[in-house]
Amino acid sequence: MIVKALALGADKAVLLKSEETNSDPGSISRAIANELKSHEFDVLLFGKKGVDDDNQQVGQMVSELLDIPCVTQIVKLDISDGRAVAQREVEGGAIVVETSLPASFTAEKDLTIPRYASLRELVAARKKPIVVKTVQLQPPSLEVISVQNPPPRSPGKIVGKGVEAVPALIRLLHEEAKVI
Amino acid sequence: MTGEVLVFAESSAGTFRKSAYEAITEGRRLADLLKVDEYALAIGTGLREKTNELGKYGANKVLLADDPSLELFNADYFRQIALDVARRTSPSIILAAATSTGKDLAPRLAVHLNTALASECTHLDFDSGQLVATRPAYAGKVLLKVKVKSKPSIATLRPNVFTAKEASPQRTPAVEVVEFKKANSRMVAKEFVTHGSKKLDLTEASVIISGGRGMGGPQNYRILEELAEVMGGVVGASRASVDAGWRPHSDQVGQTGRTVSPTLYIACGISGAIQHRVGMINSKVIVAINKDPEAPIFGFADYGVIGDVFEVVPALTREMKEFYGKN
Repeated sequence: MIVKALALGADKAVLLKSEETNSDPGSISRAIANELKSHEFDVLLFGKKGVDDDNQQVGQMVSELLDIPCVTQIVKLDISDGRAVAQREVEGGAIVVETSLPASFTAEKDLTIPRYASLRELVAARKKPIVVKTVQLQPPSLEVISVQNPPPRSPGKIVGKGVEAVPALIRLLHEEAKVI
Repeated sequence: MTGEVLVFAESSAGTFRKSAYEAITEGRRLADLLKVDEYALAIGTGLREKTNELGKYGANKVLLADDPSLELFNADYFRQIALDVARRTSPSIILAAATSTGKDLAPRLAVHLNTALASECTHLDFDSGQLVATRPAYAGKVLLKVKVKSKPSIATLRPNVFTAKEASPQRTPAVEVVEFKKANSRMVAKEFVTHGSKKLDLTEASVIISGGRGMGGPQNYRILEELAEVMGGVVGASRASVDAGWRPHSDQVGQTGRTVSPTLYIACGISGAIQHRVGMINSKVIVAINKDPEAPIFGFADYGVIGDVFEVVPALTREMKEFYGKN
């Protein structure tokens, strides 16, 4: 994954490794913020959330720890003259937000279309530096105590085939399900 | 000492969102269990006359920041106000709806208050005085129970999961005005832009007509728009149709799109892949229209019609129009 990121344009990578399993976004954010304090940057880009725990917390937390503005769930980003203008997707539309730099942003799906790295880029990426650091995470305040399967949803009934099924469907939605 | 329950009551254009009433209702339930007061935090514009609405759902007190500059969500302003209120009061629990605003704001509070946050919860409970939240993870494939071991314990609530219910007794909440410093913003929320016609968001709609790959192309969504109009619903889309460029990403229901739980979800030409399923499985009633009788969607839809969407949907629109004419 890191090599892929290097192939797609990153110049160097830092991998923070932790001995213990700790998925508390607060602990993870403190480790990332701590590392970033020794780097210079104008823009920090995060994904809006991880696709495992779906917490959607780290981008905002890191930015608050570093005391930089953070615009979340962006679908558009323009940077010029030391300022950024982003569009963040919200219910029913988008809000246009202008911010000073340095700033951080969390990406919504539409921000860019990830491309494939070329073979040449993949080869070049192998020569780029990856710094590996071991970090101690702050003990978690959020603890997973159980993992369950969601209750199953059983199949309902096939009302019928084609246009002929429509009157029966409306009757069922009205009289049985009572949703119309 | 157990502190109060503080609930962020989100508003839009001078009206509290439905998800705000859901959060206030759940906050009231927790406050009753803890035998403490419930405080509501309202940030926005034109809310001065609306604070009694929050009392109806159980808030004892409303902390109000009302200013034209708070019409659109500005993270710097909202964080400053919410943090100030959280520090001046002594909440044991802070709740917000898991909307774009709530999900942006809550982690900022958590990190400043040195506490943890359970995101997008579907159920809240206590275990030996600590907040235990149920929340979907791995795109809804599992339900996690997480314990928030620090105070104030923060949780965001998935919209449409908790039911907004007027409290008994209803209250006329005391209102305390919260000041904020406008200079302290590095960002400007400049304007709200809509995608085409202004419409209800998918997460707030009670009827969703969704189209998938089976719609064949962007022009064919017109038949879904027509049905949606008759039923007072909005049109959603599957990932396949969004990836094909037929519909905007804001219409996407599923893992990388919106998670919805309307009263009625009508899936048209959608196969029902896992990544779509997780975004709509909590709908009250699911109807599937698909010409493929083997489509996975029939395995979890309440009512299925096997047939061509281009024949069934227009017929449904006609008959719905007649139905709504009579009822």
